Amino acid sequence: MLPAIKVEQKIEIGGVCCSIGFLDGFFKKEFASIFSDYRRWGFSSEGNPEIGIMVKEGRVEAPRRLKEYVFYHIVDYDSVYATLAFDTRSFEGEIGFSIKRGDRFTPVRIVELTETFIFNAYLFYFHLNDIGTFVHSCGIVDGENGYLFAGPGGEGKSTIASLSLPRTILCDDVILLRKNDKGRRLVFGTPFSGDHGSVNGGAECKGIYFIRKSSINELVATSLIDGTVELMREGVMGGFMSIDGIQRIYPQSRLFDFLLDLLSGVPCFRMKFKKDDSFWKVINEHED
Amino acid sequence: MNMKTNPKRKSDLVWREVGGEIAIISPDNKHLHTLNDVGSRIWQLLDGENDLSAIADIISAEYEEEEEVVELDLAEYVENLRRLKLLEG
Repeated sequence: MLPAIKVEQKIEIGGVCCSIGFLDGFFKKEFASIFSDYRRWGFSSEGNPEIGIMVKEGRVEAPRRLKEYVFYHIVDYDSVYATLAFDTRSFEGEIGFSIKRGDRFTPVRIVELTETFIFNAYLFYFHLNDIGTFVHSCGIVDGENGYLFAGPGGEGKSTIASLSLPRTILCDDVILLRKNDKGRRLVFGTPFSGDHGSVNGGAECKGIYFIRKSSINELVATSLIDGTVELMREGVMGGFMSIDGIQRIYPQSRLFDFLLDLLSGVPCFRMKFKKDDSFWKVINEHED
Repeated sequence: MNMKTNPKRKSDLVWREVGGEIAIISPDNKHLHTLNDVGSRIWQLLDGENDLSAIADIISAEYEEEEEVVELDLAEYVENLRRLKLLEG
């Protein structure tokens, strides 16, 4: 699908490498600060890319013939138009930008859309290979154990992160939950960070907690089906994945079955927590 | 509600049962519905073969509830399912 391009940057999330090229150097300079953060957090990679993305100026042409496995989309976003195509078999894609008007927000819009495209390319890869999913959550590693705290905006993911120091905060906004070759469920940091930066690391998932701020600490186990429904609600299926056209590539029923499998063997809880670190005591007591 | 009608769940709906609970993905693929224990049992019985009276008999026997109470609750429950477009017709 893509012409040969010089690989400009390679990143790694959850052990999967992605190459990102900038045709004719378009936007490479402006994106340098993003890659600087990725490098600092350990997401640079020298691996063999399994996902390929090219960023360029101008329009990405629509496929001549409609192919079910090619996702093609046009976004009108503030001062820019973006066209994008992603081949969900080869996991290669292009995003092209046409600038409607140049203002100080234009570079920000291009960065946002490019990061969203990278994110969705990974999402396609992990889902279509039945490996994992991104969850709108905060991920913490305590010793060798990984914990995932999921919730909508404002319910305390960043608060949980702050209260969990000096434990390792993988990321306080988007966490990858994936299976490994041995069937273990792991949590990994992603560079799609919130307030606390990110760490490219992972640990075995010991529990998923659907959080609500409260004046008390309370932990209530959920059934597998309730946990799966919560995960579908809190899971990151936003961006391009939420549009109707995606149903022909990845229907909700397949997502539901996959999440049921992914959560098998992972304890899930609804957790109310007070604004101090005492919820960790409740979690640890429950584990004992 | 006429207790001699035979409501039937939509055949093109995707639903899964795990551990006695059922989750249904709505026809527009945008909503998830979860049913509790008794709701799941009723859902299984809404196959178009049983009329509401027969379903009320079964639920009344299995959950040891008075049939008149079950009939009222069942009628309301089926009406809710119909409003959510989860039933044929």
